[in-house]
This record gives sequence, structure tokens and C-alpha cells, in this order.
Amino acid sequence: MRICLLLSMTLLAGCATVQPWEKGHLAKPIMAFDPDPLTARQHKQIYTSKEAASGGQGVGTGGCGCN
Amino acid sequence: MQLTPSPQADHANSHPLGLLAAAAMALMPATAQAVAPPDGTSVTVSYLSYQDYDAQRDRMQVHAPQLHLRTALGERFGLEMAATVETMSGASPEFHNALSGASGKGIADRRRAADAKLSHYFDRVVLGLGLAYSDEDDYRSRGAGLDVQWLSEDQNTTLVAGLGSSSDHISATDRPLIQQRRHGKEAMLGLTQVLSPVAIVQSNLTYSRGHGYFSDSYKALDRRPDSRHQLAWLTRYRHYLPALQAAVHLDYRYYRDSWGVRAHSLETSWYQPVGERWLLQPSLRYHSQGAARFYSDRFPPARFNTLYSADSRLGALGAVTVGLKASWHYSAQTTVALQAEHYQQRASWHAGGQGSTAMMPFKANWLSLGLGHRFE
Repeated sequence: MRICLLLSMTLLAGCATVQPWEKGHLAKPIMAFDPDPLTARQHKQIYTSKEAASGGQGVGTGGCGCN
Repeated sequence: MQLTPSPQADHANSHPLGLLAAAAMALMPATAQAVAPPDGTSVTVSYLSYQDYDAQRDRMQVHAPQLHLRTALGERFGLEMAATVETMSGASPEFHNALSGASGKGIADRRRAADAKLSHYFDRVVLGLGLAYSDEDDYRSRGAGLDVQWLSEDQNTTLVAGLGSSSDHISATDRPLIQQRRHGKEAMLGLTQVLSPVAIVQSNLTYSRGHGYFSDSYKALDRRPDSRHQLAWLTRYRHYLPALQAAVHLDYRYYRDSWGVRAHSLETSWYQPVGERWLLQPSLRYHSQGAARFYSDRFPPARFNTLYSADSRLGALGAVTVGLKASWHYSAQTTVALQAEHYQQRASWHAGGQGSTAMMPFKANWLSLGLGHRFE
């Protein structure tokens, strides 16, 4: 029940239109999905070479001989 | 990439943390202007030092200078590029924790990798073409991807669809007769949704099908399927806390593949500005994976001529990473960042019970020092 309520609230929030002038916080660099592209590449390389799972970041990013 | 058009340029000058915000732009993508090419040119150079080890000895060591560039090409195009040269040395297990270097056969290799992405910006559509290249003594990979992003009229929703392919050539430095190939195709669908003035979420589904040689020729008796289908579902949430002027990042990835691996990866970071010039970023990641069907804790295998691997990376395990990054903004254009992370992998940390018993705890530390500058 709580999960349904939480989900509904999230969906409702998702439907609410946020106006352009309300997006100042969302535009901050620290709110980016990939704030540091080099760190993202490092993590992808390290985790791909040490774990069995990979992917999700995009397409055409190529592979390596690390796994 | 994220399409979140917003008025933001004047923030840097009017906000008390203006210097910090402006300087941060030197190291970070101009996500707020994704419907237009990047503002100016930003260049980041960094140096990565990596060492992993177990209870008995050091394993692999990696040193890697890295370069990243993002720039506008006219009013409608943007270019992003990255390059690195990794120098690797040490020893890697032949099976479970038995190191090849222990018998005097160490590993030394150099990997050169580069990727580039050209984006064409229309009014509410962005077309991206990416290329990737990675070359080692015994492995060469080429990848290409094409993606399209659509931004809704109210600019709160972005859809992304992408297709990619890769072609890899595999050899072995100690066995010249091994010359193998692997090909892959990828498809991606994604949605980015503004939830409120302080919250945004992105969910991407990636499916890939690979065919060819997947065995590891450096692992003893390693014999894997000649195809691998992988599904990764990555959801990322960003929340801003105005009272603290901080941002919380929460990422979760569900993964499954045709080898029987099921994995969950959960990561969180806190971005906390301190004063006008500092940004502190503690982070925590937990990963848990089930074993591939053909993985075995036993060596040698009970039967030969069947699929088999004693590569611990395909076993059931859990892993934790803790990290801290500190960025110092010398000026509005220049930033220096130091990042340290510690990683541990253990069978007992596997979610839902004991993992693969043949695996010993494994650890790694890495440190990177970066310098970013934005040219106006």
C-alpha cells in the first residue's frame, strides 16, 4: 500500500509541468547525469574488468580486452 | 547526455556560489544547454593510478593519463572526445585466485583508447554519432553508435533511441595461433523526466547481442558460449537540496544476460559545495551478481568438453566502493580535482547468501588527479 502511494505520488509529480523559470536548480552542473565524463569512463573500464555486468550508459562505446 | 533547457547562464554571476558554479562548468558538461551546442570549449586532463591486490600479493597496476574535450562547432554542432593510454603490469589469475605471475609469467600491456561523438542540434531534436576505438597487444575493439533525442514541447520530457555495433579482434601474446573475432549489436531506449523544480529522473534500457569468441585465452580450460545477450536497465535520479545547495545522485542498474548472470548495482553520491571554491563529493556503490551457469568453484572441471570457466569475475559475489572527490576552483574557468576510491569484492557480500566459495577477497585502490579549463 505504501509502495502504491509512493508510486502514485511520483507519477503525479511527474505529470506536473515544471516551467522554464523553475529549472534553475536542475540546470546546475552538480545535477547533471554525468557530471564528470572522465570519471564515468574510468568506472566503466574498472567495473567491466572486475565484474560480470556492464552496459546501460549508451550505445557504440566499444569494448576492451579486460574481461 | 540530458536535455534540460533552462535559464542558467546568469546563475554564475548572481549567486553567492557563482564562482563555484562557473568554475564547475569547466569540468562538467553544459547539460542546461543541451538543445544548443556546448558553450565554448572545455578541456580536462587527468592522471589515474590504479592498484589491485588480494591477501597474498599485489595483482595488476595501471597508470593512465586521460584527456577529455568538449567544444561547439558552429551554432548547430557539438563535439566530445576522450583519449587515454593505459599502461598495465602485474599478474592476473589463471583460475580462481591462482596468479599467472606467481609462476614467473607476468603481464605487461598497453591500451590506447579514444572515443568521439558529434552531435547535431535541431530545435527539439539532437542527433548523435559516436565512434570508439580501443587497441591492446592482444585485443582490438571498434564501436559505432547513432542516437536520436526528442525533447517534448514543455521541455520536461526527453526520449532517446539509439543503435550501436562493435567489432572486436582477439589474440593472445603467448599463442600466435589464436586469432578470433567477436561482433555485437546494441539498441537503447531511454526516457528523461523532470519531476519537480528540484528532481529529475532518467531511465535507459540497453539490449545487446554478441556473437563470436567470448572465452578468455589466458584462463586455464576456459570455454564460454559463442554468444551473449545482455540487458541493462539503468535508472538515475538527481535531487537538489536548496537549503544545503547540495545535490544527491542515486543510480540503480539491473542486469541480466543469456549466461545466467543477474546483477544489481546501486550507487549514491553527494555533491556538497563548501565555501566559494570547494566541492566535496563522497560516494558509495554496492554491486551484487549471481554466477554464470558454466562458472565452477571447482578446478579442474569434473568433465571436459563442456562449457566451463573458473574466472572469479563470473562467480557469485558482492562488491563495495567508497570514494571521495574534492574539487578546488582556482578561478571561474579552472578547476583541480582529486579523487580517491577503495573497492572490495567478497563472496560473502553476495546479496541473498554466500557467493562463490573459491573466491578470495579482492581489493583495489585508485587515485586520479585532474585539471579542467574552460575556454570562453
